[in-house]
Amino acid sequence: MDIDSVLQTFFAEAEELLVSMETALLRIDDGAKDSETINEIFRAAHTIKGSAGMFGLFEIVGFTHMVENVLDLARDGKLTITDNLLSILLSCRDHIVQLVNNAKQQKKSDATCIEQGELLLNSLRAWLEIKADLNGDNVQKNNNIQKNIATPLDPTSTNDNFEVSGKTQEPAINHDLWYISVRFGTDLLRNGMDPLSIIRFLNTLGEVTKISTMTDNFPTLAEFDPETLYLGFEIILRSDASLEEIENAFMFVREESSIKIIPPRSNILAYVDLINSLPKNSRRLGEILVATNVITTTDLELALDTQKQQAKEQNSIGLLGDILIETQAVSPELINAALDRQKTNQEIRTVQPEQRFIRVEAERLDKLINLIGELVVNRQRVDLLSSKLGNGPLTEAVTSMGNFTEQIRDAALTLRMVAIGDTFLRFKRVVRDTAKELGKEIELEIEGAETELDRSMVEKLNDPLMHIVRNAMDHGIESIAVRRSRKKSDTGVIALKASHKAGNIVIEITDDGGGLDLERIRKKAIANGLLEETTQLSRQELCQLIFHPGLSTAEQVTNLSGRGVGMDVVKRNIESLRGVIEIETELGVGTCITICLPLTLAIIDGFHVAAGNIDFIVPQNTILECVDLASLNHIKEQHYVNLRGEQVPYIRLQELFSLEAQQAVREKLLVVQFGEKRAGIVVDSLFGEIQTVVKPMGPIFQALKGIGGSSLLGTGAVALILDVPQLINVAMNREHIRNTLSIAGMQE
Amino acid sequence: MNMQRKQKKPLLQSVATKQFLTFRIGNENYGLELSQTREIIEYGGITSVPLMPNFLRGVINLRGEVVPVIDLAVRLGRNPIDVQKRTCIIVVELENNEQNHVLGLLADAVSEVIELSDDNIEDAPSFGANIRAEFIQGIAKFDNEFVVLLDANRALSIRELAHLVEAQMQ
Amino acid sequence: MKISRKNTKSGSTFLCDGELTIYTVTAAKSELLTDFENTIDPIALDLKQVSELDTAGVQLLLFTKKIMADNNKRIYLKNSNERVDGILNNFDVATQFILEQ
Repeated sequence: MDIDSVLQTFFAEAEELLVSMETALLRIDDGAKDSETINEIFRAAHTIKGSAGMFGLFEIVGFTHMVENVLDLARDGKLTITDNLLSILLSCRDHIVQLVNNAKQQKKSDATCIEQGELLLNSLRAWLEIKADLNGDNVQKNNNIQKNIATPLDPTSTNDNFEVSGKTQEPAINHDLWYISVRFGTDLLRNGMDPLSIIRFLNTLGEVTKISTMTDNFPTLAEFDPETLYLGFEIILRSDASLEEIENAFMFVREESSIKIIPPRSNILAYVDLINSLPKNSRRLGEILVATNVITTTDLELALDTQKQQAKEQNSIGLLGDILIETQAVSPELINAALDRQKTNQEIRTVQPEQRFIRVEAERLDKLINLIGELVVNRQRVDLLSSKLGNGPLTEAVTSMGNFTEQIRDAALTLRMVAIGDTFLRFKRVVRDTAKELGKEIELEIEGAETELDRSMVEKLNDPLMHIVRNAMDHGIESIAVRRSRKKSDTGVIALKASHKAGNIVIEITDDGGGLDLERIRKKAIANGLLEETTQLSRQELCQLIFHPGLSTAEQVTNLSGRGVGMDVVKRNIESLRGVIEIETELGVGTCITICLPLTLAIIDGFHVAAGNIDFIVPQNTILECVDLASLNHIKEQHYVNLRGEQVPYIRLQELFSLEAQQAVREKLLVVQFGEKRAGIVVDSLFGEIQTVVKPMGPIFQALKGIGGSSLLGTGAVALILDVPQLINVAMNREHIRNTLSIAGMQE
Repeated sequence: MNMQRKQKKPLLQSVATKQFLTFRIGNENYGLELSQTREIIEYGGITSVPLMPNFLRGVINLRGEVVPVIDLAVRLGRNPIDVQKRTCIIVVELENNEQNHVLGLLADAVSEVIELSDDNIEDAPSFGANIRAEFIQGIAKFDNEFVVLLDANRALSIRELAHLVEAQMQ
Repeated sequence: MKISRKNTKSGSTFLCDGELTIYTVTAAKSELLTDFENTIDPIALDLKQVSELDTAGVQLLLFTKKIMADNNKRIYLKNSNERVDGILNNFDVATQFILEQ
């Protein structure tokens, strides 16, 4: 095992935990005070501390340990998380992020970082002291905490340094002792790991009451390689931690090491097993057990004898505890208490979900999905061939295989889908912090967090969303004074909503702020020479002006201080995802920005059509209906149809793409929708549904508008996939051009 | 007519020799470095892409890969290739910005693979060839005929082709 | 890391300076053990100047002790510092370096 990859795993996990820690903290900010949320935060801190300990990242351990102490108190209800404490905890979380980043870049903390850490530790200390005062805890314990704080970064700190306050008060159960026997992999040291870190970590889970460093495996002087690990460890740990927690101490060395963990009051056979597996050490083991008062030598021998006998006689397995009770070695109360604890340990094990996620390289996933894409295409070919043969059983088999192919495809595609919730939740923090900075009160509402979209898309959405939300906070939501004068509540609301609509993903960012001053935008555009004085624009067109690079700086538009976020960049980003962005606004009431994105996936359900002898695919989810063009009222020159009273613009592929006109075809109209926009696409013929793999067309065709990619038909021929949003825009623009032309005409 | 490179007989390699695949466009002979060619396939199955400039004939399905097909004649300033029985597509693989691009080239007929040493190759003449000079790597005389050796990376520069498409779109 | 050996009639002393870790144990091994026959019992370890100690270092000390013991030589910790003590305690091996009279 290579230390780098394990470390990378640690970093990745730490980052994830820190995100969930932040999310949970923000939930508390929203009023959640349930123990589960606090627990989640505690667990995140706890796990990070633990894993960091194993890598000897003691700066993280020391700092996180204090955070964990405070959280522990909160978890036990001994401390209430106030707004102030929450801010401290959020900053602590940020500090841990920084420490983890430093470790990742193998950078030592600079002076600012250390100072920051000290400041935070001081704040936390204050909270621990408040708690101690309130509860009238003894001074000694308080000192104990002080001592912890004094040297949290000192890697040589010994056992009692990491003792968590509060836990020491619990009645000590003598038999709450774990037996851990470890033989590490011989290459452990060479791989950059150090058992010392693990032993120290065990000390944070409880107390290592006895450790025997075993040197039995030392070779001869000539054979001894000082970089090879020969030492073994027999450890007695007093701890109320769960088996899983203890196992986790060995998480990163588990693979090449032999580790035996025997929980308190285990079946004696476990000890027998251990003794058998370590023949050399049997005498030593007895010594250790006796030395740590697990049992006396006589008890053990007696128990071992009885055990063997029982096993022989009844062929049943007796518990060490039962046997010890029978021999009056231990009081039944103690045994029972220990039994309870053991049961809890087991329960914790079963309640905690088994690894819910598996890390998979994105590239592998893409490869799988590409292959499944090929499978889908090949299935289409098999379909075609089998239907030509007309062999009943074969067709049946092919059909059933087709169903499975479809299911495999769907399952594979969901692998790439992630809920947008995490992205949204990230803004909670941004909103909270920025609102404070701006001296505004802003609440973030989230809706449709479970809406799923392609992972690659999520990543590319982050920046644009951030721009928009920041803009809404900076320039949308008014100051409290202005809000009061407008008879709005002090708290401004920004809402993030996500939903699936007609196969697209629609994201809405709404604020109840001041709205856009369209007249002002118009004047600005004229002043900047973007617009003629006389040009008439629709509201939507005026709104779209804020995406113009020359106008996008919000400061100029709303006169509020701002960082001049480039809305033009936002628009470009959304368009690069083949999405559309629209604005609705009302002065003094608020603004709603709608982003509409296609579900760009590697495989799509399409509709196979043709125009001018070229095969096209229309993404099925954009199609509303198909009709005979001739059956509709339409005026050819104007490119409009009357669809149940609605005027729908349309384009004719044959014209748009300058294709050969086909003789005597009954043209079909496909009504497509993207976001709120509708348009018609006129084609020559319809062939039906098809599952198809999106194949990129390559860089040469980058400038080609209206075609989003290509795909293979069952016959092996290439079909072109229509880019419906772009086509709708073309249809709409044509309308726009016509309008401006007629306006121009009127003015002449 | 699928002559994949690996099936070819290895030719004797002398120190400074290069192998070229020669083919005919009209009545002219051209050569491409063999190392840049991948295979030769029969003409057929081309899907034309709307609104493209003349040199871009369309796309084909090459074992699951969608590959653009270039009419080399148009690219070299000749009349478009008239599809005949011997018309074929030479599949080339070019490296551009550390990415491999696969292109199909339309040719009237493929001739043979020849081996040329450096002293068989003369610099491109600055006049007379009627082809943009930077497209030409050199001129060779083989079997009493002139062969124009193309510089595929220049003649088929992905960037330039994309620019031409863009220009066409406007 | 620097290890120097001083032999006197009343015993040898190893003076260790610097870090005794996985990065230095190979060199340290040869300093401590290549010529161990010529050490004089009892052997004192002066670890006061040791700035860094890890499991590899501890293992080397334990191995040195074993080799010495096999050759009827005693080895003990004469001088140390807080850090070294702390780590030896982590492994509970400090007692192995006490000079038994």
